[in-house]
Amino acid sequence: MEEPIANDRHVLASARDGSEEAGRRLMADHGPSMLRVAWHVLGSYGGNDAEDAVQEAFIAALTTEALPRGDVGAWLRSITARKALDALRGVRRRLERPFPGPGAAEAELPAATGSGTSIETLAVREALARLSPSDRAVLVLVDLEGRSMAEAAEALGTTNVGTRLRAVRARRKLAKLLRGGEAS
Amino acid sequence: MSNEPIAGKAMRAAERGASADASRLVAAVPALMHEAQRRRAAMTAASPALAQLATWALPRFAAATAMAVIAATSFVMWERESATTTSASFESVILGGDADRSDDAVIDDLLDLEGNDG
Repeated sequence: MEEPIANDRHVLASARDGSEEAGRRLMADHGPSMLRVAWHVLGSYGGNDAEDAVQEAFIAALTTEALPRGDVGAWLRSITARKALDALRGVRRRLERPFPGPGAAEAELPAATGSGTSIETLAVREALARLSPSDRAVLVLVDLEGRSMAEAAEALGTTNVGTRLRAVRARRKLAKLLRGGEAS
Repeated sequence: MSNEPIAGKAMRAAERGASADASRLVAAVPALMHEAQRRRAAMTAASPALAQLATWALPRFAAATAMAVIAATSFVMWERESATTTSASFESVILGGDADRSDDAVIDDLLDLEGNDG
């Protein structure tokens, strides 16, 4: 019988100690939000790549000795964003092809273009797909997750100033794309 | 006008219609935990090997660096000393005028030319 788990930190610690119940609970509680983060960074809303990134993030969270300073879920999502970026860079290196361009979001995801997905949603995905994965990763952490620039920079292994500049440029570009303009 | 809220709204809109079903991820947890355990064991095994390598390499690097510093310092000191000697010879030739030849071939040639012109 496993001892009762008080909160996320204890769940994480128990999972590291080998408790499968704790591991399952951690994944059940945070897996969906980690998946969403992976979707945004990868620019594909469904499919196996996002699950792969979440799995890598989960393994990394259990492998490291470090404990998150704050919210465990936010920490897991930051790792997921980084892993998704790493996955895209790895694919680019291996295949020597550019990141998914405009239209990739729909092309890769027949399931996402089903009846539940509106034209408006597809248009937004198309606009997001035109941003670089690094741009999307910053926007996910800062604008969707509400992390500070410093936290996003730390999670993505970049500088504070670089992250701030990237966020400003990405927001402008996205706003222009959503208004129907062609972002440069 | 700030564009800050646009990105968050756009991302929430982009999520619509996609199902964040974590059931497959939850089912994969035992395998993921096994993999995490394997990586931790590999890291633990790699640490002593790394420490052994560092024990062997660091003193050698330190000795090599010290020798390089000594060699560089000696070279700089020697260079400065040569420059001072050359300067002294030059001054003695120009100001003193009591030496027929300096140690510098260029200066000697210049002095020869001046002598021929004058």
